[in-house]
Amino acid sequence: MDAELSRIAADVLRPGEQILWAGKPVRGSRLPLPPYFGILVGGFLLLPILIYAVSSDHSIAALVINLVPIVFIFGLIALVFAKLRGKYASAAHNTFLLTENRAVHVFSHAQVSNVASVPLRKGTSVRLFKGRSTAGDLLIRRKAGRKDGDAATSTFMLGRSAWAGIRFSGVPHAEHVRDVAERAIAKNQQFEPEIHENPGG
Amino acid sequence: MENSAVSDATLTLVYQRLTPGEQILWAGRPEPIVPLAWNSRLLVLFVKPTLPVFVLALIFGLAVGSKVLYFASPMGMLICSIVILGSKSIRAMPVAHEEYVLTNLRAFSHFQSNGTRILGEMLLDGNTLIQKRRCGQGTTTLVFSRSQNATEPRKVKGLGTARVGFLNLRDAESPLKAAEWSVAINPIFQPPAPATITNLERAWTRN
Repeated sequence: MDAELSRIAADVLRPGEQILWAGKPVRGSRLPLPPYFGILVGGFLLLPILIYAVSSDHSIAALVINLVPIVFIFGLIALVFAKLRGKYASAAHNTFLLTENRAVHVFSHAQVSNVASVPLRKGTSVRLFKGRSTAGDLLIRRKAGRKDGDAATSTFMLGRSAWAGIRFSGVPHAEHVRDVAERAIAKNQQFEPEIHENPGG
Repeated sequence: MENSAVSDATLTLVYQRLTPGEQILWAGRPEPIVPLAWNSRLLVLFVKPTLPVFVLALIFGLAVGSKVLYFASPMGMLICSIVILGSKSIRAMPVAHEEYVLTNLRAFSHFQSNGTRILGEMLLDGNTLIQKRRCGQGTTTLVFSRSQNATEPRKVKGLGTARVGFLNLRDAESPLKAAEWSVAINPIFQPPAPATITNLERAWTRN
């Protein structure tokens, strides 16, 4: 454990909390786009292609003219997302921790610190978005609880809070890290603990 | 000071992080629902009835074989969808679960919902920029970010600014004055100088 990790661990860990895994983002993982972005782009590209297929006039030029602006707009949206989320994929400013109870993301830069944590318990899911190499993104999120009505103001009617989880971008050996998180969730599930909103990082 | 406005969990968390001499100046919560600004509301009002028009234009274009209509419609539908979903995502921001605390040294934001917790923390000194933004319906957002200079670059390598925001406040004057006072009195933070390498260490590294 290097000096930086020791400092971060001392700052964010609760007394007696054990680290299962710690790491930083690596380069070469996938573009930091939201999940289902590819499906959305595909859907919009499919529409003009379907129209082209069913129409009697098969003009390739018209199809290309129609597809280019859609690709351009989605490309622009992807660029904005990559720019906004990029700072959370930089190794210099981000540290990911998995403890026996929590997944913690620490962002730290220029006297700004952001510590986000999600409990690894019943109701938490870990989803892996694999990159080309062994690196990938992990989306660790909570299902909205019954008492969580106002927090779970639905985004696009998906019935989940906009901030109901955290993302580990560019995690090295992502499959292994997902397994570690899932094992911790399974272990904690056996005890069926209640979530208490206690302070402490 | 409106300490009663924030939960015990947030106060305890902040008290744990207070440094000697640091005192809480203000604490508060945002308005629970983020309103849209008047121009955004006007745009959504215009776009909502326009979306079915594009759908009808697509069907009509296909029926009569009009190239202009059936090739322009998907683009129109895409732009309308982005505007409608964008406004929905702003209103879906769960700010009701955020709480803010301002000390004479730092700004804290704390989000807590269903187990997920996010604690934002920012130093208030001479290099802190305070931006005030009107949100609509009389609410204001305060954004704290770092100013641009050689030692403390504002941007994270061109990938976006590191910041802490107090969103959607009904009364932003008290925290604004407290933050401005903190920024004025606190000396500019000097990052610790990197350890100097001695000749012996240099020789060791070469070997």
